Amino acid sequence: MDRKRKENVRNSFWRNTVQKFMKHRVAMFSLVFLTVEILAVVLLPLLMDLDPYTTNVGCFSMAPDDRFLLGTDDVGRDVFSRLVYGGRVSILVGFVSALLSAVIGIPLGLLAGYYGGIIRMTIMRLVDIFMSFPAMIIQLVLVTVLGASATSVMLVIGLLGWTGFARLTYSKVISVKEQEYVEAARASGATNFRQMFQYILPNSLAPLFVQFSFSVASAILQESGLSFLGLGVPVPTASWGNMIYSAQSLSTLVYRPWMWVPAGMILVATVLSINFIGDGLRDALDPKMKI
Amino acid sequence: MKDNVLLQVSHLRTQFETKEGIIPAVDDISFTVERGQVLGIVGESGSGKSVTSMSILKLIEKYNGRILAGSSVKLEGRELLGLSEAEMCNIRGREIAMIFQDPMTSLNPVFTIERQMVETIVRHKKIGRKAARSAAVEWLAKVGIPEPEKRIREYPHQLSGGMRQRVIIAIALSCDPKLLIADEPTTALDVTIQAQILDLLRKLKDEVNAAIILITHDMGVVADMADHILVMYAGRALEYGTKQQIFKNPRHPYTKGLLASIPRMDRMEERLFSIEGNVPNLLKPVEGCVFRERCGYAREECGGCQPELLSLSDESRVSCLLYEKEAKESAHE
Amino acid sequence: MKKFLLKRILIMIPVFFGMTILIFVLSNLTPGSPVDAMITADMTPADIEALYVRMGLDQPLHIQYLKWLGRLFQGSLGYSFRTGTAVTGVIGERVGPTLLLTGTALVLAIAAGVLLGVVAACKPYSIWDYMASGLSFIGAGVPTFFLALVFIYCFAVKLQWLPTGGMYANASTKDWMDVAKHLLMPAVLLGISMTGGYIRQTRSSMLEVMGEEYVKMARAKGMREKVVLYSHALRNAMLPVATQIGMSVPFLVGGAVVTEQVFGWPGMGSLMVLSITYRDYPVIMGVTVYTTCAVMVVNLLMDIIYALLDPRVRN
Repeated sequence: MDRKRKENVRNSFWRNTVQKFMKHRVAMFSLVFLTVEILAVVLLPLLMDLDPYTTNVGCFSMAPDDRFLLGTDDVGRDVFSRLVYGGRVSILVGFVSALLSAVIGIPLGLLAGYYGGIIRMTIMRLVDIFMSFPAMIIQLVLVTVLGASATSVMLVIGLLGWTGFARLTYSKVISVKEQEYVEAARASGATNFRQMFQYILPNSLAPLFVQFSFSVASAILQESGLSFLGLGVPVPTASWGNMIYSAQSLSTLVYRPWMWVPAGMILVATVLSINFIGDGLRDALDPKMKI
Repeated sequence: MKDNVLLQVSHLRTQFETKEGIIPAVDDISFTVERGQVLGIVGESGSGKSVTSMSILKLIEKYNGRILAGSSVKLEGRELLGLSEAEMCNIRGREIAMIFQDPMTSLNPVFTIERQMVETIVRHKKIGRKAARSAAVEWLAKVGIPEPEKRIREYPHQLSGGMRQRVIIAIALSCDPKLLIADEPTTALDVTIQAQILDLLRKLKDEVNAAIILITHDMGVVADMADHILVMYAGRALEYGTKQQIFKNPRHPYTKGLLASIPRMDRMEERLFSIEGNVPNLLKPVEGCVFRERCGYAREECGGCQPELLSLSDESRVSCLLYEKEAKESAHE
Repeated sequence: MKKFLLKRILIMIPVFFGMTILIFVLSNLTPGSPVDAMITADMTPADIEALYVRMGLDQPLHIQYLKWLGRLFQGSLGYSFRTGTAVTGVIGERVGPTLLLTGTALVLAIAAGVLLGVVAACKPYSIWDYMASGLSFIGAGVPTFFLALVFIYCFAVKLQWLPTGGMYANASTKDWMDVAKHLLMPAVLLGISMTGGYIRQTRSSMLEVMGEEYVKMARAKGMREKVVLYSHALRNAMLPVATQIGMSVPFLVGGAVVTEQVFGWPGMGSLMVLSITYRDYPVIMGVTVYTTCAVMVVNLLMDIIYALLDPRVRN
């Protein structure tokens, strides 16, 4: 049969989901916003003459004017340029970290759910261990060990964020495993590997997409937190977090809001819109989903 | 005879407003329950039986339902639908008590049996906690729970399904209600336990002298207990009569179908009879008689509107055009 | 109950070893060794070698781990590079303020979360419902430090109601009102960062519980709506909320680091940041050990609370 029919069922499932998502107004608006934002941080440096690194001597801490759209920071760098380049870093860190978490967490969850027994025990205990770590503290230690850089920030956030993916995959696999089509595949002699990746995983994907979007938002927040403490992405590289770092000085906070307010606003808008997209996706896929 | 009427429901109409549209779950139902008598309400799932009971208790608004104007529920002549929420709270559990279908989910899992019984008794009777507790223990003994002093301190999950249903019955009867609504009280139980629970209900009914509305999909259960039977289908009342009349001389084609689908030990048949088709989707307005599409006797006139409940005798009413002539004759007599 | 507790503690044992092994490996990755602080200028290489042997650093890693664990249990975490004093002492004076801050924040977050969650569930589309979802979005989407800066700008700088940071106006007086004034902003902010999750969990589990049969039965018994909601429904709805609270505690610790740093609160979080800038590895590892152990203890406590709430878990 019914390969074709099955494909039809699957296609109509996704089509249905897309339709429901489109009806979710906030989520759609967020998606448009995020797309525009990503296009902007990718394309603006190509179209405009942006320079986030040069310290313009004599232009320290200047308020916004014709030359510097959003003013300059305390060493005379153009804030608008830093905002755009910082966006590249923050968004990239968010996606790469979340991807890393997914790449670690999903196979582990799959193994734990599929095999059970000692494998399940070991993996789920490991999840327990990681979940009871105060992630921030371990991240700080790791960054100190690895040395602060955008790469190590991605690494430490990704390495500590996989438990959500593992737990979700695990719970999904347990229920999917018992479905008839998997039993049928097993009976017809499909290898374990094939069963896991061809039959079980594709049918567990829906909630993982939702988890991924929340993961991206959380990674962006974590990066900004680390950078805000001065222990994440190091200057002169710009990130939204380390731009807000400057506001730790009370005079910047009060008298030079252009240095930190735009970065904070765009950070909030980005994280919120990714969360809204996640919400919309969840509602479209299955409103009862628990994430 | 009029004084004997305990509950009078007339023209009850209850709707649910959902995203997909309005569902007329109960559509113009009327019946009476006399003191000490048992009325069986029979119908398939989705026929509006449970909604009827929730409407009598005026709990339907909490579940997004609405009782339409023109409906009336009178308990001992007192109109319940006009009462305030606070007044209704005094009726629920005190005058009208209810037994639910699934004992596994009807008791609060985090409270002891004691707490759930005592709070009910204290709520409705003017006695202290201590007296309420000993009354509760007494009731547990009455419903056949061994070692009530020990069991009362336990949590629901420590009791079996049958035991939990006994506890629920004890809670329902503990405030001496005048009317007990039992909504599928045995459906979720094992067959052997079902019989025990029915026995218990029958025994207690005489003891507390309460009238019972027994809601079920199981004709066997009403055959056992009921004095009168109301047959519901898709929110409508299709037939009402005494138990003897309904079982010996069922009139509505649907009632006939229901009776024919009871498995019987005395007749060896190849296969059980079943009524063709499905309950109509109430989201779409039904034209004509609700049973028309599954009815073997359906004629063109059945597409008009739901027939009035025709009185065939004092205690027999049917909503079917087949009996128009008979009804006219009985009216003339 | 005893059996349940025993089981929980047994489960904690592998978790404890797993965590300590991870921390031990991490501390071995950090540059510098416990000996460094003891080396003085007049030591010969042979002396240093002897010191290494005395400290057991010539032994295989697993022996070193066990010895490290032994010292850990005795409360010895080495000496701070920065101050030269015992790490336990350095950390010890920071524990109180951190507990005060996180404890207050947690209480505020739970109170606000449960309250708003319940009201949002019982009165959907009311002003409370919107407030609840607003607050939960702020909690989920606005980084604590950014909100903290905005708060400082508004309440400390512009309105001058509250101090911009620190714990005392004058450390020698130990005036409680003064501490409370300093505590208010950081505790509220840390609370806001936690409360979003509690609100959403309370709201959704309240909605779920209100559809349950036992709630219908409580109503049919004639219990007043208040009793139905706040006694029958809420008690059950609290179960998943308790789980959520337990799982969020590690994030509370993370949030405390940022909050303490912004407000200059003299707790373990700002000590951590300070130690990292000074590369004071013994203190860094000490804080890590302390906080992870604290989180484990809190998790056990939450398990106990959960068992008290749910009789089905107890027996």
